[in-house]
Amino acid sequence: MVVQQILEEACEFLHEQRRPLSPEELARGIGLDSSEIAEVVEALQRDGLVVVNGGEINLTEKGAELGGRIARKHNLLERFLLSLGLKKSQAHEEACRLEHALSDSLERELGRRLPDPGKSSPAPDLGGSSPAYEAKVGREPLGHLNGPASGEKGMPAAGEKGAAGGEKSGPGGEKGAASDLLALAELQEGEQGVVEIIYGGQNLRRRLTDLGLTPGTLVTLLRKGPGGPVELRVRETSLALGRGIAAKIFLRRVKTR
Amino acid sequence: MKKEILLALAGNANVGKSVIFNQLTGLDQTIGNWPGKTVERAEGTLRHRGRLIRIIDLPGIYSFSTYSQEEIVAQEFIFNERPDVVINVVDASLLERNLFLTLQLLEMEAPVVLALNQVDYARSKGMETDPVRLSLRLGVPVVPTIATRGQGLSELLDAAIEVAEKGLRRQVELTYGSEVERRIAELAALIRQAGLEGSYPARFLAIKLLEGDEGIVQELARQASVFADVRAVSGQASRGIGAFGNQGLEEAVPGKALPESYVLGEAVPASAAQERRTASLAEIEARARELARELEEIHGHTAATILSSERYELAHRITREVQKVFAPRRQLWRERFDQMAMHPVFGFLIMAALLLASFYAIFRFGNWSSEFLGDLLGQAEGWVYALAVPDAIKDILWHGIFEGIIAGITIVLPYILPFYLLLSILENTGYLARIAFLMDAAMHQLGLHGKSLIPLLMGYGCNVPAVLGMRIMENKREMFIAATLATMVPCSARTVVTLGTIGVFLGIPYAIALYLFDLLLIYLTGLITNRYLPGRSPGLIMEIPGYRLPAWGPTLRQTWARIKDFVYVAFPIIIGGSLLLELLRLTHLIEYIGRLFDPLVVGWLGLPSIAGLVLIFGILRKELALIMLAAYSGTTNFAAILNPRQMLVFGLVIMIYTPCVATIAALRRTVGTTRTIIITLAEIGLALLLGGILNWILLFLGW
Repeated sequence: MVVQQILEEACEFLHEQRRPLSPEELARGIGLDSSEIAEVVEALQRDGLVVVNGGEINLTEKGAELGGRIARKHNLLERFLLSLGLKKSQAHEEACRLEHALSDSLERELGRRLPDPGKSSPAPDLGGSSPAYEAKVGREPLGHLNGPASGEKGMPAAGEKGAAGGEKSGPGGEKGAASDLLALAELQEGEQGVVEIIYGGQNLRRRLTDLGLTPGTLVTLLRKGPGGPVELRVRETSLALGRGIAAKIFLRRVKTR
Repeated sequence: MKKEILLALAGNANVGKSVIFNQLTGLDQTIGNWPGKTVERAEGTLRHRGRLIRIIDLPGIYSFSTYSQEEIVAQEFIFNERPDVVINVVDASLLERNLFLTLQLLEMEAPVVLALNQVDYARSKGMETDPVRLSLRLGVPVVPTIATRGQGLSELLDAAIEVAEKGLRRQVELTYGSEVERRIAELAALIRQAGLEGSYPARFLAIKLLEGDEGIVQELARQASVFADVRAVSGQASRGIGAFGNQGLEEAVPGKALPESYVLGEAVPASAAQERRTASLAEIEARARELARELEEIHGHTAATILSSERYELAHRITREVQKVFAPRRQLWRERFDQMAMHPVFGFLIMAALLLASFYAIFRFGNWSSEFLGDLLGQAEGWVYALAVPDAIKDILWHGIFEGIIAGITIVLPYILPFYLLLSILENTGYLARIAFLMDAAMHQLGLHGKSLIPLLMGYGCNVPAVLGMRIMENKREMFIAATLATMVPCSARTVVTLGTIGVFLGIPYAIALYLFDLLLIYLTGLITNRYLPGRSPGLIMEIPGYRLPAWGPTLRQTWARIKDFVYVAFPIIIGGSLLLELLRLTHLIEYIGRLFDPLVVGWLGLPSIAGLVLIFGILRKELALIMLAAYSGTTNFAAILNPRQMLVFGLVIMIYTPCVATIAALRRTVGTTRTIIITLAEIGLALLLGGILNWILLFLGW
């Protein structure tokens, strides 16, 4: 089975090159062995992303669309990371990883928050995030993902109210709250937020959601430790997270006062 | 009535699962590893109402999946060993998070009995849970317990026996949101149609497929081919007895792995069946991906995340229904203490004071009792030599066997027992988690996290428990780094050598310099392995439990069980090593072997041949290195056989050259054979390299 991420990378690379490539060129471009590429090309064909003609791989319309979308996400993320003060090479590397995890809705928000770069702006039509998509989101909201899935039962009412009192936190309700999206590590001690998205591998995401950090969950930052670990309260439990992990969890700040 | 019952304990970490295990099994327990894994396995037995109950304590986990060793171990146990009953221990004060795991156990259709533990603690936090309602809601027996005081355990066992013997008939259905449930149902139906469920419930498989759990996909593929093989065999077998009927795979009862009826199965060509099954598996997988993508598009999160959300939502709803929170009490004293214990300045001070005091106490007690025990047991020498047997046999008996046993005892009781006790107390009171939090950033540079500090410090006493203690690390990479560093900590045996040679004849400053160099070396090794070892250590993800007073009974029993583990690992090797050493000495082979290494020892390290002998055979019994040196050179005035340069080189090499055999055995237990060999060889190489360099530098400086 070929991982989706590799397919995306292949489309992105083909899209960048703007010309048909040989399997060897593609393999080099996405850092695969020439022995592995056949399987990838096969999977690309099966998904209707490329056609192979006389040994040359060419993107289909669907493949070009996917490649373009990933490239756009990459640019956006790279700009975002640069604006956080990361080094160019580091931002590029991280963006390569994150581009596959970035949801369309978050992409939209990132695009909105970042200043116009002047060149190579994210395409105005934003691919997958068409009006139809928004309509779909609006029609079928995951109720509990939006609400205060687990208010802090033992905590003062203010927290409960803050989360329930109309803070738009679901992927669908972005109005007004968009500017509050921030990394967990950026919260101040005692502040609360609602989990929006976790960037990171499947494994990490899995472990964190297993511990209760599902989207829409209210968390309180209890303290920051020496050198960056944080302690937070989630679903009545205290959880310690290292600095690197705390930087991968994005949430919306909930104002308690 | 079942004579023997297999019972598994499952639950989150820090919910009192081990306490229940200890209360139930008493001293009748063994701690070892899960086969092929570096996860600790605790097993014990007890008798209750005429039944023999075998209890397995599954690792503490937060979820069932195939992402971590612990989770794989737990999941495989439940599906492969098919325990008669699974006691799911949940913390009544953290019901919602604990039910997340319970819901998964129910998805797995395990025969669950719920132990609603620490109801007293929950009450003190202002929470009252209604066990009857919880039982009705989940469809499994629920027994409130206070494990630390042994309350409710007899009732728990009664309920477990009933489920083990009568089975669990759950009438209750727990369902998630309709859009998720609809997709689960579709996949489950496909799986049933294809007859792929094997020993797994179809609904469970459907959920795992939606979540994209790759372990399960592989397992299904394996099963698809196994079925085909079974049919190939049964097809041939059935040709002779074909008249017995045509019950094929499709008609087989679902939920049974390989019913006997397959042996009578009809004769479909195996390859065709296999192809069909593999094809339908591929189709189902594709459909699962499609359905997962639909979910992802609706919610903008991965399907796995959505399912976790759904489970938590359900757990939250159930919790709200069965738990009353009256007069929520904030735990002021906990907050205050945490404020100090995790403070960036006071936290370190408290930690340093506590650890220094404990280790000082351990080493003082260790020294005193080690000497006392050594003297006491040393009296046996007179008896052994009074025996009416040839002198050679007396030597073998005394040096080869008795001394080995004495060496073991004088390490275990004085140093390791108190250390394990301390570790257990730090762990059970919850303070270890605070240390881990404080030290996280510092240890992270070495690719470790804070938890490894304590075993690392223990290495100063003896490397064996330090290495075994590193099993608290979470993944193999961390365990590898931690265990490597632990073997580089100068243990008491090496300290004796350093002090006895360099300390006495060159002066304490040189000994201290050597120690500092070793510390630097540990730090650099950590940095370098962390930098160049593939993968990255995952950051800290750890629950910080509330403070508890340790329950003495379970703490002591746990300590005892760990000591037994140590004794099993180290004793045979210490004794075997002593025996080998004595035989080599008696046959004079030892000098001969020692001479083989002369080019390296004399030529490169510039040491006398005798020192080489000690280095090589010191591996067997490091604490004897000094004694061996004295015995072979015939003097304790080491300045007469080693000049200052040689002494420094000798001290340095002894400090880093390789862990002793007992430590090697512990390493094998912790990181596996291959990695043990790598660590050992790397350290020998490093010691030779650095020793040689030091030798030549000192020569150059005219020492």
